[in-house]
Amino acid sequence: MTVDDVAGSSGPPTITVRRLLDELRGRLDVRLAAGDGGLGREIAHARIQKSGLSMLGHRHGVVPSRVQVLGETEMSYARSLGREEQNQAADHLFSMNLACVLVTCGAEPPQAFLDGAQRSATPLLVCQERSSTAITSLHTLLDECLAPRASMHGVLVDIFEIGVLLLGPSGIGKSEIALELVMRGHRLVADDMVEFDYRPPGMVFGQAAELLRHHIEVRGLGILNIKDLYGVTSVRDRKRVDLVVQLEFWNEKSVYERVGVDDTYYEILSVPIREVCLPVRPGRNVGSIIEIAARNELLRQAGHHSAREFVRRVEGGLSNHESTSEMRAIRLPEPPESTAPPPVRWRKPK
Amino acid sequence: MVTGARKRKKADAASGEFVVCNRLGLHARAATKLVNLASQFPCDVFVSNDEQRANAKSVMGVLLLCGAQGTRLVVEAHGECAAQAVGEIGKLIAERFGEEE
Repeated sequence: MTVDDVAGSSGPPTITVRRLLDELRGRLDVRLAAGDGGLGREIAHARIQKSGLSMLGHRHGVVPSRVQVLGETEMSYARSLGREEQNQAADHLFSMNLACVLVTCGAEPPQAFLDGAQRSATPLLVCQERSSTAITSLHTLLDECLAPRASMHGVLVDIFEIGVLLLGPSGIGKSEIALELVMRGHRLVADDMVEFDYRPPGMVFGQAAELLRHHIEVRGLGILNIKDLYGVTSVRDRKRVDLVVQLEFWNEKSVYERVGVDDTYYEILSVPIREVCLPVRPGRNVGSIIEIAARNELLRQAGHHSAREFVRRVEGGLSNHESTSEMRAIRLPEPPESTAPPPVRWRKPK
Repeated sequence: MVTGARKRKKADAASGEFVVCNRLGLHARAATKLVNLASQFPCDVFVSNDEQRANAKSVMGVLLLCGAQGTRLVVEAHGECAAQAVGEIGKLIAERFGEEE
């Protein structure tokens, strides 16, 4: 099942070199050495490239919209070249219409490179940090800026550190369920409009739109500020989505999960997230059921799948040949003898 | 005034484009009227501006659209009475949500 009504940006996100430089200034000791004419060029990829071989003319695999990094190795090579060879290297490097080039370790680029960058309007940045630090900072920053985003109507709550996304038609009681969960000590992340972003590897985070943060709408009461009412532990700004709960009005004809062996998934930003479907009916405490679903999810993350373990024990009993006329009572195995020494009670020295 | 209203019917789906024409735009009182009207219909109703898409039955989402005067809103409905929903919501917007200006 995929998200049909998710509003996302059209086309892959990009960031201008100008903006990248602004953001980088807060993280690295970086300056623009040449090529200010190209600050409007766009970076479209969240990972850098370190292709020193391009200085030799080997351009295979170089993607212009990726940040190119020249580290200690590359710059020491450039410095070892004669004037003519340096010009050639600069030509190779700056004729690829690169979005931007970053030199690390505070190395002063050779004049040929500065000229080449200026001529081709390729932003040439220099930072003091070593390559490994600079690359880590760049990757973190690019992940934040270029993360695929989407938003949809729903409610996101944090139950026992499990991010539970409640989906369903209007009026089914998503906000009321969130309120009940807050009263039980859980945390509201977003009501009504949830904004998602993708972070590698394979995680989707949700948060509330800035304007709506900490607010919840309850029909009959209006818009409430949960943080003011219940305090800082009742809200959370951002949470990874771990479980999707689809709420629907109880339908006689619908078939609901009874044993729970098979998992179904809901896709957000191409990430499959475990999904459960819960029917809502007056008198049915859906808040409690959702809390249990979150507990079960914690158990699954720890490696235990209750339904499957149960079925395995039942089927083990069924296939047992010793009993033919009746099912033998299922006996749980004794816990193994612990080989660890008994715990020593720590006594406070007198 | 309704400008550029288009109604597409395709198996219980309808949509229309309307311009917010009252002076205060889509403020709290106007948003509440829109949400109350949308909630009366059994179909799913969405309202979107250039950047965001909100569920029209929920007031917080609609307020988030920050529809100032002149904003172009697209109203979509899926399900029973979709065309009627779009029509009536369009009418509400065109009539300035019952306000004077």
